[in-house]
Parts: sequence; structure tokens; C-alpha cells
Amino acid sequence: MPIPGRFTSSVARPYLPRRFPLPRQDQDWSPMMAASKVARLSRTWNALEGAMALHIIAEQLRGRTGDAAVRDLLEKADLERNQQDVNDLLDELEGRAAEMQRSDNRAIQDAGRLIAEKAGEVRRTIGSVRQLYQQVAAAWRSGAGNRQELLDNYLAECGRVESTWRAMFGDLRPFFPSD
Amino acid sequence: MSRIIFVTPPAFPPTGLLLRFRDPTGRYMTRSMDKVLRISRASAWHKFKRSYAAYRSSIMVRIAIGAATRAGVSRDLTDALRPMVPRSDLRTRAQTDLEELQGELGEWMDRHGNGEYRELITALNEIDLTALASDGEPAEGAQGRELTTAIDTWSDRDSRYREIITRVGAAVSAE
Repeated sequence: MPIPGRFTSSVARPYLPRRFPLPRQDQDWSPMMAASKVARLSRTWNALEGAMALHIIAEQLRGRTGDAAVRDLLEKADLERNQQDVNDLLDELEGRAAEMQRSDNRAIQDAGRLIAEKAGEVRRTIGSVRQLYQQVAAAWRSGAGNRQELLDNYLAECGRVESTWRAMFGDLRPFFPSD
Repeated sequence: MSRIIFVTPPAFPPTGLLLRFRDPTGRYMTRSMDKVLRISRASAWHKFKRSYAAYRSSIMVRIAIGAATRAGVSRDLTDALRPMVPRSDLRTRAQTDLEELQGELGEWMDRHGNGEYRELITALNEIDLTALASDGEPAEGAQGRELTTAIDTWSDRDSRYREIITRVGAAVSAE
């Protein structure tokens, strides 16, 4: 559909920061907005991943060394806050993916569908990681026989989340402006 | 938001320039260049805030693993979690995001002669990710009271950096 604008985005380029993702007049901006959410999500996930690892180790340290210091570290890890941020960002990413699916560009619609599917997958995997980290912490504390297996599963699930971000960026890459 | 066009001539002062977006349903909305730039700065801040959180989190894991190793916790566990300790990719990403944020504020200042961000850039320049990791090193080999002291020392720098990040966030936040 033709856009009734008289000026192209190149007019604004000199006034905008170099990194600002400016689509050309015939491009849709929604994939870049989605990519921005994925960028925030992958970073927040790494913070959450660290916080969970910290909790697993803290379970082992209980009663062995400086409990006050360990408590302090756990407080600083912001586990719940990071979890909430991940959930909120996933909501926002799904909103962006829905927006892409309403585009009149078929390729963007398809990418939006893929991003929505992957966001759902990430949500499920993170849910599973959350459960596993608690089981891992408990199993290592009690010396349960399946502790190594649980730990391996936990790390594998963490790896799955990580690789999904890369897949999402791959889905969105074709829509980035080439300049 | 999608598609961007200009509805005022470029001869207008850049900050007064209006950009018009069309969302995928065909609805139009108009935003000033000021607003668009504010969104861009806020976006750079959000990314750095989170990459800093990820990096500091990995440093804390290293401190905890150090303490666990000294306390005799199974190496099967600590070795498995060790790949999460200060990862060079997390540090590189945080450094890149920091420089991007400094660039956003610097470009704004250069273009508009606005000194509002000068102090913030100076504060951001204080952030040294290498020093943040170094401060955590004494904690890795410490036990008991020494561990508490070492973590407090590490926290001093971390708290200062987090405060800077919060201050920058308040200045660049988009309504």
C-alpha cells in the first residue's frame, strides 16, 4: 500500500543516532521493535540464570561458611525481580509478535508467527528450569542419587533457552535496514 | 509501530521534526523527533541496565563457587556451574552496551549543545567492568568473616555503579 509521505527516512538520518534502526519508507518497523525486546530478554535471562546458580550453590554453603555473607549475596541476586522482568518482557515480546502478524507484509507475518511460537517455548522452558533449579538444590543438599542427572537436565534446559534467543535474532535479521 | 514517514520539511529544527508511523492495522500516529530520540536513548539504557545485571550476577556466582570450593562442596557441582562465572561474552556485551549508551548521550549533546547529559557521561565513564570483577577476587578465596568483608568491598563498587545506572535511567526515561 503506498504511503502518502513526501520525505524518505534518509532525510532524518543525519539527525538520528548512528545506531537508531530507521526503516526505509517501504519497511515495517515492528520486527526491529521485536528484536529490541529479544535483546533485553536475553540479558535479563542471563541475570536470572546467574541468580538461580547462586541459589543452588548457596544451598550447599548453608552451615559451612559465612552464612551472613551468603545471605547477602542471595539478596543481591534479585531472583524474584529478574523472574518478574523475564515474564514482563515475554509478555511484551508476544505483543510485538502479534503486531507483526497483523502486518500486510506476508514475510513479516510469518516471522511474527515464528517469534510467537518461540516466545511460548521459552516461557515453558524457563518454567521447567525454575522447577529444576529447586529440585537440583534440594537433591544436592540431601545427596539424592539422581542429583547429577537433575543437574545435567537443568543445564541442558538453560542451554535451550540460550539457543532460542539466537534463533529469534536469526528470524528477525532479514528485516533489519541494511544501512 | 511500523513504517515511518516525515510530515514536516527537513528545514524545520530537527527536534521539531514530526515523524509519522503507521501500525500494521493502518492507523497513523505522529511523534516528534524529540520523542523518537528519547525512545532511542531509553532503549540503550534498558539494554545496558540488563547486561550489567547479567555480568554482575556472573561475578557473584564466581564468588559463591570460590566459597563453595573452600568449604569442600563437591567439585562435580561447582565444576558444572563454573561456565556461568564471569563469562567474557557477558562482559563484552555489557561493555558494548555501555559504550552505546555513552554514544547516545554524547551524540545528543553534540547535536543540540545540551549539557544536561555531561555529568551523566562523566558518571558512566567511571564504570569499570574489569575493576568490578577484580574486586570480587578476594572473596573467592575467603571464608567466614573475611568472606563478609570481601563481599562488602565488592558491594561498594557495585552499589555505586547501580546508583549511576538508576540516575541515568531517570534522566533518559521515555514517558
